[in-house]
Amino acid sequence: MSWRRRAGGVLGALCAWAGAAEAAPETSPSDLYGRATLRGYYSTDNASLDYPEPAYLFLDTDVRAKNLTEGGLQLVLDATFIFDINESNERRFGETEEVVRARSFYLRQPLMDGDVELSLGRRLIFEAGNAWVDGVDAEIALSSDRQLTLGVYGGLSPDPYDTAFNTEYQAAGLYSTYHREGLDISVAANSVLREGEQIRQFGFNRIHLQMADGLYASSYLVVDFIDSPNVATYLGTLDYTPTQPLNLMLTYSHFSLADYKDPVVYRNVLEPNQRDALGLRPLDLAYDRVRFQASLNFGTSYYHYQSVEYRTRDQGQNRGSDEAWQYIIGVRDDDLFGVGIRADLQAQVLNNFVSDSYTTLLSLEYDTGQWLTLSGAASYFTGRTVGRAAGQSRTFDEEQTLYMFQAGAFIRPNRHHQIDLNYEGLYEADVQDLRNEDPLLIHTINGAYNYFF
Amino acid sequence: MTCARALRLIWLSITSLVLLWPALSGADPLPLSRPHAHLDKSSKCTTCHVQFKGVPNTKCLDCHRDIDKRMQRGQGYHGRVARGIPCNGCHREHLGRNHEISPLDKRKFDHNQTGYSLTGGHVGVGCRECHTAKRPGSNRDSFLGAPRECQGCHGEYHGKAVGKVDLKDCQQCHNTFDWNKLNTNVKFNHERETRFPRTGKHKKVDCDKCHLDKKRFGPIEISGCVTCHKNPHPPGVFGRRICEECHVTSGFKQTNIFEHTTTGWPLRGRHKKNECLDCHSWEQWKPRTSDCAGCHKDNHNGQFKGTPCGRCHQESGWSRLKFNHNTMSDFPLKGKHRSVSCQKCHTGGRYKPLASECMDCHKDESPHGDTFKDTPCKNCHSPVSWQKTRFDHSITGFALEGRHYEQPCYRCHPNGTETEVDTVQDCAYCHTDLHSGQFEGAGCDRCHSGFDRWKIPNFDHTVSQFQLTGRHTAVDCGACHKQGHYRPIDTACGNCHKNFHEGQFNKACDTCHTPETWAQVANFDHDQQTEYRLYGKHRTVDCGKCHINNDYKGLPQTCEGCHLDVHSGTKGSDCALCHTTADWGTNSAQNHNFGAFSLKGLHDRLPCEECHGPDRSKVLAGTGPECINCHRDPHFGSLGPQCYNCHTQSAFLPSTFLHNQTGFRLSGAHRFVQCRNCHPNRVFGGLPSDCGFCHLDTYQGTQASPTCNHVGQCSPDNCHECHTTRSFVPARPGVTCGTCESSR
Repeated sequence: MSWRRRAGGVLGALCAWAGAAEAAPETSPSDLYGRATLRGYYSTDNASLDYPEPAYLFLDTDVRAKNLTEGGLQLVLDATFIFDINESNERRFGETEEVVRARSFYLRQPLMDGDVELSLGRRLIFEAGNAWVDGVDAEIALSSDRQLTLGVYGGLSPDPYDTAFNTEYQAAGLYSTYHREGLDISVAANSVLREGEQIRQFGFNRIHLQMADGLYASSYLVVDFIDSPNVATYLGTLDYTPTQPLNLMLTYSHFSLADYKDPVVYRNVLEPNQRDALGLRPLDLAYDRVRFQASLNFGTSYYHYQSVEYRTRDQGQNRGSDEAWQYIIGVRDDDLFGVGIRADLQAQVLNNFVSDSYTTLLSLEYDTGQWLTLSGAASYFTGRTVGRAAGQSRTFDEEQTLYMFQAGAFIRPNRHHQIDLNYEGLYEADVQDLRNEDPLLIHTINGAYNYFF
Repeated sequence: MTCARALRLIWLSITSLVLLWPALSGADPLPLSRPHAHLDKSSKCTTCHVQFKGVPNTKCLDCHRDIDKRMQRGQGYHGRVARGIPCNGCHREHLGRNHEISPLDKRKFDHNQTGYSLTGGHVGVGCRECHTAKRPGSNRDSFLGAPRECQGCHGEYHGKAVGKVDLKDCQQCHNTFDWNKLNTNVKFNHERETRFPRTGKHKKVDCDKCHLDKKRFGPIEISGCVTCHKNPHPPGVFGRRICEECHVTSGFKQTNIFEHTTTGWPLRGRHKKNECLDCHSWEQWKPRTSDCAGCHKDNHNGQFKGTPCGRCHQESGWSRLKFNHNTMSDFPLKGKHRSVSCQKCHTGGRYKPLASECMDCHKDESPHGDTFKDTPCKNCHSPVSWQKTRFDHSITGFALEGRHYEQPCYRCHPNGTETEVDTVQDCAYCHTDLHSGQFEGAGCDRCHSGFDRWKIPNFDHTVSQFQLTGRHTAVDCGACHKQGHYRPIDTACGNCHKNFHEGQFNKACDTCHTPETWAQVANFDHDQQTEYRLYGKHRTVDCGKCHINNDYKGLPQTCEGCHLDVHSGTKGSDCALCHTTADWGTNSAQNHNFGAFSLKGLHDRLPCEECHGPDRSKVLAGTGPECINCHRDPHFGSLGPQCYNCHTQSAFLPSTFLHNQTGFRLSGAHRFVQCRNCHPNRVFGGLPSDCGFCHLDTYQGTQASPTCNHVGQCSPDNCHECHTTRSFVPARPGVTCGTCESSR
């Protein structure tokens, strides 16, 4: 990564910060809120290999400014700036990591008494299935109380892979929302082009419905149309609370690779070694999951939960499919022993296709009530590799035990200034294949200064 | 003859006829204009015309030399505008004798084209007022040669200039718009360009104050200040002295440059600040005498006759005396006498002679009557302080100790005449019994020990029936023993404390409260003694936060009984659905609990509107914990909806994926390899875990090795049998070529 890109990133961050700071005097406190967070991350271990130790700086900016002008102009900024201190990040991720990751950066202007809202800039349009555009978005209220809206957007599209601003990709679409008490519906038709040629066309539908008191259903559907209709993503949830303490939830999801016609989108640069196994196309990968979850409240602070999940993974004709499952049980108490300690004890059994693992996790949090929250966690993990799924061969039949421990402090002298300090340790022991290396101890520290305004 | 030749002949004939028509016809041209009439002869044609060349400019300019010169210099109208234009383009000839050869429309003529713009008052001036010249050898008016300088028309108004002054450059001061209104930025520098540099107030004087005749700006004769100023002094008072010896241009009255010492009477102190006329007068400038009496009146009416004033008074201030009472009089001032004003003793301006006995001044004061008869005052008193006496009180049999010593005499001797015969050595003689006889016969010194302080320093309350503990020990006695009432006293709490509970509790106060601290009811257990248990932050809330107006019984036990419903009833009345007593502000709400996953971290710090819309009307209940409900999936849908398996809620990056769960533990160099090296295109699931998936080329590359060809000897699936993830070369200790073969 060149120094120019770093400097550009820093400059961008400063501009964003200065922009927020400049905007502040123009607005009342309630019209401006957000945060700027400077985070640092550093990790080291006792491995004898001489590799750079990861060290990053992040700057997260989140600005919501309303009523910048008398006409109600708004500014929305949601961006992260990543600074790779010793370039270890670049070694690990190559060119995929951009300094600037701007999720949203747009101005929004209400027009015609708020019946039309015009946005200009980078906008992630949730109502259109998280369609992304660097351009213009107009949202028109078709009814007086904005019960029914119609939106249209168009412009350039951020690089789907690394989010960078570019002129190579374009995006356009149409969406509509309907909202009334107990019912939310969004539908959208989106198109992504690369150098003028359509490379993805997908429809989106989201429904959230309250069917009865305590009974909700929701679905999230993405269908790709570029060659033939193909369900890329589906998430359906049925949530039922028959009595206040008890909650039952059934979830089904289908996730498969978004169908971009042009594999350049995926940076599909396969090594010759892998090409034999994978072919020239990206992995044809699809997951289906069903999860049932139940939780129960006792008293004012006690919470018990269990869930069981069944998964299948389909890797296309070449690699077949396999299955996995997971079971979680846990208890949580927000006021342990009546002294204000929040505790969570959880056990998890996971068969993750080619591995079995068991995890126990205990986390504690104590809020002193004024300006300090202390937290700590410890977990025990044991796992091993199992089976030879789908004809894959495996080099290592491994078995290991992990101990993880964490301690943190959340310091907030006032609402504006907040500091997070965190330490995590990981100790890999009982590694079956000790011919490779000794037990490994990894230390990770990270801290963040948050300025909320 | 062909048709073409015939046509050519006809065309030639017609052309010749047209060209030769005037000659052939024998017609004469019209006469020349009047100025050129002398050339109107057939023999003079070539004066202007050149055969086959018409009338070139050179022919005209041969005669009109002035015009020629101006054109060559680029001067004037012809030099600036008419260069290169044929003269006869404007000056047409052969149009008759009366034809005006130099037509000029004076109303339309643009004078700017001559190089001399007409501005201001010049615009309305008639041409002939400036252009007064005649053409050479003619009586005809000429427009050439008008003067460019102001004086050419306006004359030398201010007369001849001398020296450096250039009075010809009128534009330094004047403009064409108003002659009498000088330019605002006149460049004339009187200081440099004249022999009379102006200083001080001269700079602000209008020109005509000195240059009385405006026409005379040339040098005016200056024979001293009196040329302009009148001499205010009587003639001859200052002899041959000139004004500048005393006066300056910064102000006539500023005469400080005059050295008064030259008069033999130097000015010092307050005299320096006096105006000249305070001592001098126009009629008689020189004072009659140099003594003080010459100016000052004798306020002492001759008491100090013969004594110079300067013995006591100073020039720095009349009232600032240098008289020393201690050395220059028989009565040295001591003690409080030092601060007494002179007039207190020297009444009526009388300074001497004065009597010096105490009673001479203090004769109106006789505090002791005849008690001490002829005993001199100074036997007991001193000028240092009347109150502090030298009197040894112990000789009276009542030595003064402690606070008694500090008291003024009159506190015990109010009349000033009481002696030991008149006084009684009993506290009650001087002190009032504030206890109204409650301790009669006990003697004051039982509690008030010593004379250092009246207040009881360490009264041992244990001798009473009420032990002082806790905050009672710091309470002032008077807070309980009001109006000096000490006994008997009711020791019940209510005797001193107000019952804030207004009878809500039929219990003794100490059932809940202790003397240690009233507010923290140490003896009270809210969980045990009431039906409402306190959890979380309710434990640290002040009682008064809930028990407003001291109302302790019959309070509502619902949240809205104490808390404002910020949702205005839209979320129902069961606050516990979303909030806990552990932390109201954070969204540790049970609705934000999704089994093993619950919203926290940055989600806790987001305003509700961020997810639930500006009016919080967006219901998300029942959508589950899947991140995709709110966030974009950067993995193209290749992993699934549960981002929280790899990303934390404190920060999306860096991710915290535990690769061990995949069954392929990252060890050695694999820990530091770029993710995309194994996971191209950001698709992370389902990859083969055999070495050959990534290292097949290395395996196949050994074919070229003459000593260690792996191909055919071992499988790319079993590299780990000989190699480690730390490095491919060297292989494991003890491994040699053929090991794999032997192990098959």
